[in-house]
Amino acid sequence: MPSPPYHRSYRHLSLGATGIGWSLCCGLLPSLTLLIFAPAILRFHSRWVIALLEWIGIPVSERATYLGRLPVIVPEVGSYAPAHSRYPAVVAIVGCIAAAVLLIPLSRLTPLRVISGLAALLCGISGTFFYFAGERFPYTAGTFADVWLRAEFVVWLIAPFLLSIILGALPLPSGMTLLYTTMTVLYAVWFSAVRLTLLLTLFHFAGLIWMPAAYFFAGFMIDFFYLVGFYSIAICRTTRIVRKHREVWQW
Amino acid sequence: MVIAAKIYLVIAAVLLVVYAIRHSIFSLNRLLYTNRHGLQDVFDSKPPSITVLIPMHNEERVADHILEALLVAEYPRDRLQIIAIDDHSTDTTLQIIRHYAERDSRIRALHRGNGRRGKPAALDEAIRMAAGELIMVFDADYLPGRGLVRELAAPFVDPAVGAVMGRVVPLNCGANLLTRLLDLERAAGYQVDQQARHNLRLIPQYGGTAGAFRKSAYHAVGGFDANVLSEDTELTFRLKLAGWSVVYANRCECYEEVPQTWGARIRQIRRWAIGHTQCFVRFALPMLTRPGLRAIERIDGVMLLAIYLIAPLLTLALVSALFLFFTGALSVLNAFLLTFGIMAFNSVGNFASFFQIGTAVLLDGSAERVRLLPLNVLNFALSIFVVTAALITHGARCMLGRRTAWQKTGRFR
Repeated sequence: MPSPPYHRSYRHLSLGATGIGWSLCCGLLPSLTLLIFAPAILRFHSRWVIALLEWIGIPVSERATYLGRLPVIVPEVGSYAPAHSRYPAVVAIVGCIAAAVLLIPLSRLTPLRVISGLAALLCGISGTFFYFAGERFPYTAGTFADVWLRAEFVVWLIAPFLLSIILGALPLPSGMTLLYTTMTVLYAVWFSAVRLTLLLTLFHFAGLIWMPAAYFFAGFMIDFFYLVGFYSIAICRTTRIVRKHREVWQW
Repeated sequence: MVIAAKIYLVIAAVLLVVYAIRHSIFSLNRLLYTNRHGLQDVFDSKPPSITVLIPMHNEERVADHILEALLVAEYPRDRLQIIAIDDHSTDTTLQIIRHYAERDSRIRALHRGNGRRGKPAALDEAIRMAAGELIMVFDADYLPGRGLVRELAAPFVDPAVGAVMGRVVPLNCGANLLTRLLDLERAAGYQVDQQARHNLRLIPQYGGTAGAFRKSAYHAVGGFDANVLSEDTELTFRLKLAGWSVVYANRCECYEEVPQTWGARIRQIRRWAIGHTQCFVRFALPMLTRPGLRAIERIDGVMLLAIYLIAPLLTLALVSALFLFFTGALSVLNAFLLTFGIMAFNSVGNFASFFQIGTAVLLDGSAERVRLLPLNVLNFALSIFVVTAALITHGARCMLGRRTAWQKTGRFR
């Protein structure tokens, strides 16, 4: 008979509520800094994307626009979708077949099969759309970069605030909370530029047909993934700190 | 069509945020407040008589483990009866049960070879034979500790208590990635979700195993309905609506075997989703209208019942977003709402979510296992897909007049 693991349920931590206020301040500080230096940060982000694209060897132009009142530079790349007229049809068929193989039957599903199956299905839908009404696709690589910048800017603003709320209830020193929220924002800005560069490169070489999959699977999903990653690191650290404190044992 | 899709996205985001608030309240309750006292330390000079029920269907791999564990339970011999139910087994389960019944007079073997299959029907038949005032149920893969029977019985000192639920802890959490992820999910579900609901005097859920209920209360509310796949949720709400209280006892730990393969996990959440939603259809309206409940109990009860409906809601939101994307109407506002909704939902929302998991891990004091937290995103993606598919299939079967069969979770010991 297997032996049960250690007893877990007795532990109760009486944590102070005062830290929440400080933590919220620590979360708001990076957001506030971001707002104050938004023009410079957005410009830096776009310039970096343009520099990376030029380094890869993709011709890129700049377009000036506004995010609310904030001036923004949007990188524009030309899309050289393969000229063959059957390309969307091939993507549609392969995507749908791959989705069927990955998602059916239900009993064989795993998380990776679900994610890749849905991505394949999206590619299949996209291929079908491009085959029948490709000329009506409403976006270019430039508009994608524009929407990406706007949405990512919202994520950059929300992420530290959301993180500060959930870290606020933990017995984490304020400096540590500030460090985690700032790290999250810096990583978000850096990673956003890297992903946008990669996606614009993909659109340049493989066409806009991949845009829906890129938008839904390489955008917010990934943002959420690293946000949870930072949270798990913070919790791991907090648990180690708490272990050193005197524990309150209760029911 | 575009406007309808946009309106739906806004409604979905609002609902997700409401769930996010509910779950963050639970986590904050566990982090910042002391727990409501249980009654486990009350010593009763005349302990109540108890009948332990163990429904089994092809459980030869685990049957002797639970019977051995119960035989060494610290409870007066004359107050304890154990009924091991063999429910249409085709392996050696019945022989194992009979062997133990011959060995110890507290154990009684119940063989079911005819009639309706499934846990609710098996329990219903066994309860008719039960001699105890209290009915305690354990699935065959559970390993109760020596003091568990006594501790689960203690809260029944309060005559208003109709059912008690203990904490379930995975025994095989180190087996593979899936069991580790499920360990995190279970920790959040019990250490945070159930305990906070108990603290806030809401409705802790009787989970159908590692729990107990009063036989008189069971009969008073009409017993189990064999058509419902989650008889535990059904009993919880029947008891609550009849004025009984359901309590959670975090200290009453019982060890279980969580699924080790994705196939077994899929069957499990499929059953839970369908059973829970059957209960939603049955009890949502009475929860809102039946007199005697506090407003907060009504709201939380309905949200608890509707929890699996979040999956199709979210799937439809993604389909709406996709539609808006191809029509060029996915403006920044929609993107923002969708992002915010999904982030709020996943970070502090449903399915034993991340905030709760983090809180539970902190309360349990085990740091290392939380590093797997981001991988739970993948687990939740699977859950959303499977629950959506299960509810659609179940809806179609209902329309065709067919019944969804009870599916047992596989064993890995």
